[in-house]
Amino acid sequence: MIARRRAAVAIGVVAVLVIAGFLLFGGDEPLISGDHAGPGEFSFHLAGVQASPITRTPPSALKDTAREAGVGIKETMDELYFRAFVDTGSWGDYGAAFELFDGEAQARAESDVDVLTLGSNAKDDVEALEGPSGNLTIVVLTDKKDAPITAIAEVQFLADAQGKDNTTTEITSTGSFFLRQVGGVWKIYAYRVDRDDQAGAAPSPTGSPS
Amino acid sequence: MRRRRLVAVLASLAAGVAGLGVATLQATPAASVPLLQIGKAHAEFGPSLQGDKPIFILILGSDSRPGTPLEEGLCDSIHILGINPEAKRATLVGIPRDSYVPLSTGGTNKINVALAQGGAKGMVATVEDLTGVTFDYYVITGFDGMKRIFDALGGLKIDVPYSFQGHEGSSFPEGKQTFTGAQALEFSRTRKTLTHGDFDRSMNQGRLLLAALAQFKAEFRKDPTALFEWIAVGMRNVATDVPLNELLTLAFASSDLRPKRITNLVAVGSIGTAGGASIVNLPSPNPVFEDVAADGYVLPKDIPAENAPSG
Repeated sequence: MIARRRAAVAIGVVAVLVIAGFLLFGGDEPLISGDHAGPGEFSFHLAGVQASPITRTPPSALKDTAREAGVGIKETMDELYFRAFVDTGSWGDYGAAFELFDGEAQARAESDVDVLTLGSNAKDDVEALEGPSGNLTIVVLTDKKDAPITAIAEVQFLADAQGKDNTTTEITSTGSFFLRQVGGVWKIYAYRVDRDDQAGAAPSPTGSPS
Repeated sequence: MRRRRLVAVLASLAAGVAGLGVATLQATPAASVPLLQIGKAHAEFGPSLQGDKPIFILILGSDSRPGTPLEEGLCDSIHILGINPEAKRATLVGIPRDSYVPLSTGGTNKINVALAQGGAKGMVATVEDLTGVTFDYYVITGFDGMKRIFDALGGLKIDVPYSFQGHEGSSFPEGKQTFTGAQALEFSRTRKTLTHGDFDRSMNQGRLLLAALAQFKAEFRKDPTALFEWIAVGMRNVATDVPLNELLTLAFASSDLRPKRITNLVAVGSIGTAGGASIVNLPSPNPVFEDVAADGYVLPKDIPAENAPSG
C-alpha cells in the first residue's frame, strides 16, 4: 500500500516537472523566465523567439542561442516601455529610456519623443496609465559562427491613459526595433514605430450622487 | 505635444471662422479637447552611409559548376556598383565578359578568366586597373547560388522591357512577371537571341539586380524582418568580403535609395577577334569608367547613347 502511494506521488512529481519543463522550454515559442512583471515593472509577453542563421545550420538547431539572446533583448524592451510609458517617475524626462538607444539612434529617438513615449508633457497631462500590456516577438540574426549579431524585436503595446482633463486615451504603440550588443547590453540602433492612439470611453464619474 | 495642442486650437479657430462663430468657440468647454494626442503618428530611424566618399562593390557571377569553388569559375557577369551616400545616387556598370583587357595575373585576355586565374583578388585588381575604381568589397555568386536565392525568396518580380526567347527555350514576354530561380538565371545568361548580344545580356543582368533591390525595398517596407531573410538567404549563397555589420548598414542604406536615382548601363566597345575567339575592345580612356570612378554614379543625361543598349 505504502509502496503504491509512493509510486503515485513520484508519478505526480514527474508529471508536474514535465509540464513545468514544457512550459519553460518546450514548444516552438519557448517562454523566458521573467515574463511576468513585478511591482513597479513592466514585462512584455514573449510570443516567440527564433534564429535566422546566415549559415546552413537549421534555425531549429539554434533555439538555445536565440533564447539566450532573447533574455537580454526582452530586458531592453521591457525597460524601454517601462521608462517610456509605465513609470510615472520618468514622465517628461525619458533619459533612462533613451539610454537604451545606441549612437545616432539616441539623438534621433530624443527628437521622436512624442511617438516613442507617453509624451513630453505627460507629467502635466496624464493622471494615470492603466492596464499596460504588450506582446513581443524576437528574431535573432546569427553570424558565420552561429552567434547572435543583431535582432529585431517586434512589439505591440497597449494601455489606457487617464488624462488630468478627465479624458481617456487608448494608447497603441506598434514597433520594430533593431538591436545589437553594446558592452554586453542589447541596445537599439534602428527603429520603426507607429502610434495609433484613440479616444477611449469616458471614465465613469466619481463622487456624484444621482 | 504642445504643437499638437496648438494644432487643435487652430483647427477650432478655423472652424469658428468658417461659420460656427466666436460665441460657439468660447462656449466649447476646455475638457472636450483631450490633452493627449489622438490619432496616428510614425517615427523611424536606420543607420545610413555617411560622407561624400563613394562606396564601390564588385558584383560577380561565376560559371563554376556545383561542387566547384566559385573562384575557380569564369566570370559570366561583372558589374561595378557605385553608391554615393551624400547624393543618394547609385550606378551599375556592366562589363562584358568578353572584354579583352590586361589581367592582374599577367598577359592580356578576356576579362572573365581573371577570376579563375587570380581568384577574387585577381579579379578585383584586374577591374581596378581597367576602370580606375578602387573597390571596398566584392560579392560572388554562382549559377546554383543565384537559383537558390530567388527560389528561397519566393521568386523575383521583374518588368521585362522587351520580349525574347531564352537560350534554354523559355519565353520572356514583355511586361511584369515573377521569375523562378531558374528563369532568373536563364534571363541573365541569354545572349545569342538578343540584338546586341553580350551588351544586352549585361544590361539584363543589371535589370535583375535592380529588380531584386526594388523587391527588397518593398518587402522591407512591409515587414522589417525581411531584412534578415534577405541577408540570411544571400549570405548562404555568395562569397563576399563584406563584414556582416557593414552589410546591415548597406541594406538599410539601399532601402533608402530610390530606383529613379540608380543608373544601369553597360561599358560597350567594338567587336573583334583574338586567337579566333570573339572579343570586345573597350575604348581607352573610357568616359563611363572615369565618370563612375569620380563620384560613384553616372547621371542618365551623361550616359553615351551606345552605353544603353536595347531598352
